[in-house]
Amino acid sequence: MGKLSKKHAGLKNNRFIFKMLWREVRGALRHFVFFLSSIAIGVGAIVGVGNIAVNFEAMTEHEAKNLLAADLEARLNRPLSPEGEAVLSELRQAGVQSVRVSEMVAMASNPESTQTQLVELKAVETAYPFYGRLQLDPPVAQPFEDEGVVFVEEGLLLRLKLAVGEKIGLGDADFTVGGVVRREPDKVAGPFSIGPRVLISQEVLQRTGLVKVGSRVRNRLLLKTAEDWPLEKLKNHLLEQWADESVRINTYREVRPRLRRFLDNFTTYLGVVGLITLLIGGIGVGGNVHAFLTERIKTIAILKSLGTASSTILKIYLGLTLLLGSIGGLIGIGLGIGVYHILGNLLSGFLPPGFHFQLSFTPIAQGVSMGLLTALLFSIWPLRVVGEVSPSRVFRHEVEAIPNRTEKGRLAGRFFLMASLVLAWIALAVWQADSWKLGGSVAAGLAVAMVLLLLSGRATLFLMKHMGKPRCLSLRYGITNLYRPGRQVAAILLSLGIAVMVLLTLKQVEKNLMAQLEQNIPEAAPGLFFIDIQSDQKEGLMTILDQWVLKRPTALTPLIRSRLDAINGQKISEMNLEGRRDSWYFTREYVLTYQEELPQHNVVKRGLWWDGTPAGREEMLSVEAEAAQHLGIDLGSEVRFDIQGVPVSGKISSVRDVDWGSMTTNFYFIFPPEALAGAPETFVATVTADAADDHAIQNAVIDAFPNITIIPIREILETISRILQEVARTVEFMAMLGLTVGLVVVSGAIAATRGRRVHEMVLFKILGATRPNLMAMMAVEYAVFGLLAAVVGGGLSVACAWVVVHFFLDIPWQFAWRVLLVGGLVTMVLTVLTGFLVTYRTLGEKPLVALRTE
Amino acid sequence: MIEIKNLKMSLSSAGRPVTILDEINLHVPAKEFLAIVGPSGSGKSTLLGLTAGLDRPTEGSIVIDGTSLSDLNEDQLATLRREKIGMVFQSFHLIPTMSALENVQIPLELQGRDDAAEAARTLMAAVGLAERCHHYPVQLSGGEQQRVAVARAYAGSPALLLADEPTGNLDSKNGERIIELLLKLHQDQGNTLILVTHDMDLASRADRIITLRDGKVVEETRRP
Repeated sequence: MGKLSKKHAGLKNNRFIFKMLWREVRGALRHFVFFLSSIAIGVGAIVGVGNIAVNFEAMTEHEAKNLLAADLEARLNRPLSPEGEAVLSELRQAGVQSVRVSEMVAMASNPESTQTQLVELKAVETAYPFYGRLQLDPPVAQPFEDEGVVFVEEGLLLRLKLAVGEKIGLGDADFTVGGVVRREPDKVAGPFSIGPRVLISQEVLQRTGLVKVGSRVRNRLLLKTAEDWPLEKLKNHLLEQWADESVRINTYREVRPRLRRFLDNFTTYLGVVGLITLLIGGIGVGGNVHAFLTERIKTIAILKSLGTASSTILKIYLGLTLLLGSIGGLIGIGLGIGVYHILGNLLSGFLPPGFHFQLSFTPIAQGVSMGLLTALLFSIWPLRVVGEVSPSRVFRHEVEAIPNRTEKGRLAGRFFLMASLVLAWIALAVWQADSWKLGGSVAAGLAVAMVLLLLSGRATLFLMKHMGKPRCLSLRYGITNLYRPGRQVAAILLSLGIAVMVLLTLKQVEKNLMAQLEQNIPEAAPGLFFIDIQSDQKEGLMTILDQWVLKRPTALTPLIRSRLDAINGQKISEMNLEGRRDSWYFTREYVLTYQEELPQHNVVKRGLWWDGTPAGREEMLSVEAEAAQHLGIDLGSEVRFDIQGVPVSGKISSVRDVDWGSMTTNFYFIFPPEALAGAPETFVATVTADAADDHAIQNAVIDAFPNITIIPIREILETISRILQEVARTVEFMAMLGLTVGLVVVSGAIAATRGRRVHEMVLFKILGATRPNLMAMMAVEYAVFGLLAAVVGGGLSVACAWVVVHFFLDIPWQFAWRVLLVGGLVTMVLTVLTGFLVTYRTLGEKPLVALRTE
Repeated sequence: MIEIKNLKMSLSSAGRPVTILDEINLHVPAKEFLAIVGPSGSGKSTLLGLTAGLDRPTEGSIVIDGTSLSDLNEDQLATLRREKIGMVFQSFHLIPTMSALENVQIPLELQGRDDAAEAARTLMAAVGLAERCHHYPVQLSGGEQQRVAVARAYAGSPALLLADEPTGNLDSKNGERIIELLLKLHQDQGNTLILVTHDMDLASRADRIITLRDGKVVEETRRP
């Protein structure tokens, strides 16, 4: 054949492929409802999660800028040299904006009463802040223009008995209180502040005369990028130009608060659940294509006997798969937008006020391409039979139309094909999880789960087949129906089993987490936690608290700050701790306490507590087990502490296990009371009152003792619990998507056998079976499917959940049998319902009509 | 045994009603061997199907052993078939996903017989297929499949056996074998046999022949 005619033949062939493709689509779209929905839901899950992830990324970036109030921050340990200043002014000319921030501790006073208070002074310039919101009450348009005005935290007004508009003394001058600082973007929140904030302009700071040689001022420069000076360029330029200055440069990107890390991880795991959903969908696609080809075997045989090449036929059906995958992907975009809105609502608690979600293109594109690739990957396996169909099939009609007989050469080919498909899927998993480790382990975990599901399914069927048949007719037929040829048991078991496994794993982990949380919030959980109570304030505090009815008597726990000085006579300072990961245990500050009784949530592991020990008590010391292990000490070891220069030592007389999860104050080291007599101490107290009284108690205590810091535990616990619930609901929603696809796959697998089922049912009817007989058979069949998936999926879920709870969350494992029971029952009921939904119409078929139409 | 009165059956084809059976009146006494003959599309199979309660007639009534089929619902009809009627079809209609033995077992099991398996095995032996009990229909030849179908039809010892062109898909040798089998069982069990056929030689062995044309009985001959 000449080149031209070859080309011509190729074109003709392509036209033939497209024509055949069109004929198949036109005739069989109805068959592909399950294909389309499997892919669409999977793509929807990935598109939805992807968009959420992108938005959270944007949000945390935005938040990070707020936390810094700038794009870039330079911390100056000493003022910039003239050369350094020159670099800065050049940048300013190029459009980079800057704000100088000076922070120091100072004394503020009420000029009228001469009352004073330690404050944290912060001086800024007019452009402050570049990002985030400075909220002043009452609002001021240009807060730092007026050189006579300062802004203060409300606590300060309370303590100095001042009001907005009155005078406050700072250093050499008096100023007017211009308003209350409600919100300040770059303030690092923490319970241990030295004093309330006073916010002023640099000019005010000069007027106070507080900045003198030797005064401790922390200077920072906040910078905002310009068009010609993007972040990285600006940072590198400064690092280079300011190499000789004593500065530390941070960009907002390096400020990674915990929330950001958490959301990163969270969306990644949601993505993994999405990926599993798509995998389940893929199994459905495989089943669907298999069923379709089984119907088309004759067509393929005829095409072959008419002289069509296998490769041409393969192209027709591959084209069909790609077309359907694309349509499924497009529907998936719509679903994904819905998923994204639902997730956005479920996670609204994570969003700062005023943050709006936006759809973004990249995750949509990724979702659709993943859907298309999944459709392709899972179709290739069943499509392999196109090459294996013999044209002689035209003359035969078999139940299991896909050939089972396999020659040796073909076996190797199949193995190679399967291996490449598995590898390709692992690549997809890695792409979606954006990590080799996570993607790889998810893929490996799923592979193990799938193998176990198939093996246990096979084993169960084998047992059922050989166990002896139940007497009840419906039971017997329902069960034997399972191992009849062409029932798609594998597809049903895999899709449903994996969906059940994921859902129940998440449910069990959630139960364990919630149980742990609830255990730590007893009925009468402390609402308030007071710290920094001075010895002479103890009585006064108790008198104030007496005004309220408390749910539990308030106990004051003494705290003594110390450092380890020596262990068994060896000074810590002389130990070589370099390279030790736990050196922190040696060098950290230890907060000591003394107690008569063994505290709650503490268990003596070795040795004895000192109650009832009359002699030598003052030498005793109790240590927490883990600390003891890291420090290499045990019963009898001598430990010396340095308490503000005074050495105090004790011999370890007991080693305790401490439940750190309990929401109480816990200690590494506890002395008997007489051992620490006279040491400088402060006290902490937990107050358990009616939630409604918390606020009044806080005000009364602050009023009387401004130095006492109050941590509202109840609020914190409520926030944690709310966030956990949001997270749980989101994860559940994603897992439900997986289960939905699982059920779609089940429907598809059952629908694929519909024609055969109608035929069987009609014959059963002719032989005298009533509809209740038939319904009972169906119910048994579907229920056994559900039960198998529930038992195996549930069993695997226990293993998965245990691994997560034990290794990742490190909390005690509780067997959530109720979750498993309910999960198993729901799976069975849903499977039976799905099966009925797909087949109920076949029950009503009139035998004669059905026989006639055959 | 069977009393058919004014039976009429119309179906709609392409939106227009097509009369398949028209004013059929027929009495079949117990133990009779009745052959129904007639050209394709004359309504033979429909008449047989209606007699088995596989569909509802448009008009008229069918009474079997004093029970009017029109008084029964779907499930009662099924129960009636289970107890009284066996059927053999031209295209065998074995359940493809069940072994030969299982196919024969079904009517026995539906009747709640404890010895279903043994009884089915005996029947398989009676039709000469004792060795092929565990074969699936596709693994059997057409003649073998039809023998399984006959065994299945007789399994419940029905009082009425309906055979719809049982030899139509078989070569003459196998067809002859099936007929011998049917007639032997008919004589042994003493049941009523209605046979739809094209084959006049075969029909001539019946006690009575009725000929259908365009849904009407046009001729009735009795064997002398």
